[in-house]
Amino acid sequence: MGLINTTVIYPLLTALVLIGSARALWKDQWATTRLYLVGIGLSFGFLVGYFSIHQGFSASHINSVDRLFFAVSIAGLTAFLFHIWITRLRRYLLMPPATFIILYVLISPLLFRLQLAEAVGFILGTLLIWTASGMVWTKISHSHISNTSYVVAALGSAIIISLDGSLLIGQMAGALTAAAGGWWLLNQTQKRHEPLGKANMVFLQLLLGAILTLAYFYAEVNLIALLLIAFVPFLYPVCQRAIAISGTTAPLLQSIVTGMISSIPVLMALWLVWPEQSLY
Amino acid sequence: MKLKQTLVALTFFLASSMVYADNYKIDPTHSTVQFIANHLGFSHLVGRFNTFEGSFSVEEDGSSNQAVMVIDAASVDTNHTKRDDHLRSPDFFNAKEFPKIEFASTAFKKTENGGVLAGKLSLLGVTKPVEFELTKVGEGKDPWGGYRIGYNATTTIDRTDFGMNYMAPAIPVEIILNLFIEGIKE
Repeated sequence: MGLINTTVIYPLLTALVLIGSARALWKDQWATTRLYLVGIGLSFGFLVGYFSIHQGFSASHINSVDRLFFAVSIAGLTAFLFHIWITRLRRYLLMPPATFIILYVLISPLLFRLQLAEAVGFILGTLLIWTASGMVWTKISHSHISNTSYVVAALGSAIIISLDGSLLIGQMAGALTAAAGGWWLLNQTQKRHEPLGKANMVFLQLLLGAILTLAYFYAEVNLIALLLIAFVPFLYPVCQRAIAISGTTAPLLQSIVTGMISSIPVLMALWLVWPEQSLY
Repeated sequence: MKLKQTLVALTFFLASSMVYADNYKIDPTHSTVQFIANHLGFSHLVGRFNTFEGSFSVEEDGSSNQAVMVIDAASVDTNHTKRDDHLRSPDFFNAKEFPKIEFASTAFKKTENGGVLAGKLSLLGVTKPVEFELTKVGEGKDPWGGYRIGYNATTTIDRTDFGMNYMAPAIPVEIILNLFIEGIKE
């Protein structure tokens, strides 16, 4: 029960309360502020899950994994500041290297232990995962489709990482799924779908990308399975087309269509990591 | 002349007061590093580390106050590949970031059957004092012309002391460490 509470219940409730409050308190005249508050609600949802998984704020943060939130928060703040202050072109040029540097700070204890060949593999692997999950920054809008596909990708990563490597990192992905799930649930109750701002979406993508990266380098989770998860945002045009063909305008039906299409790579990844031996 | 006599006498005095120590290198093919963890209160799970190295010294009076051991965390083996992968992950040994588990002795107290070897154990980047109960198994010449000595050592640690907090106490925190060591005199 403790596992369910920390991974699902606490982050979900936090996200629901904070995002719901932000929406209730700030009406349309404060649309931009409200968008960022929704992002903060999401982040806090994840934060609550993250710290309850680690048994409170007093937990000793000796592993790089434990520093995930702080590192990604800095990356998120960087993304947010870039979003406000600099032009779009410069933002897209500067953001990837900035976040890349932050990622290396996060995993530097591991990097310093690697031999040259491993380090090259490490850099290439990181680039692959981050390019795949980061493409969403520039191409894909913060729409209903990306809302649903993000939840599916996060849920898929939670299951796959837990099965193939680390329950701890899997739980982090679970907390992220729960917080994003709260945002998704609230969207289903609204007549008009309310997407996140791009800066918030960048933060979420950074979190998921960092979790996938940690899972690969620290727990050696199957790379192809992780890349399949990172591939989910690329299905955006397919989802868009499928929704257009179906002609549905109901948010829930659109979510179901998006969810089904996004699940394809997730199921393939699940098939790759499904344990052949009995669980222990 | 008087100075020379004094120096010679002093040298003899110092030499006689020194205890002679033999140095041994751990023979990994005849040694085992084992751990025992409780499984949900039903049974005990036994695992081991397959790669390790170390050395120790034994003094004339049988005491041993210099022992070091380095264990490769990634070599954990519980006879279940998937579980071993999980044990290597950040949930437990975090072998990528902390590839070595190290022990270095600090003191030795002789008892009737062996002794107590105190030292510092470094796991997950955290160093804590531990005490191994030491039992001597035997010593003597081997068939290949060398000289060997063997000890069993055991201690119990709380994994959360080293920051291995994951799923505690659902997965019990007390871990028994058993070392079955054979050393070859250098």
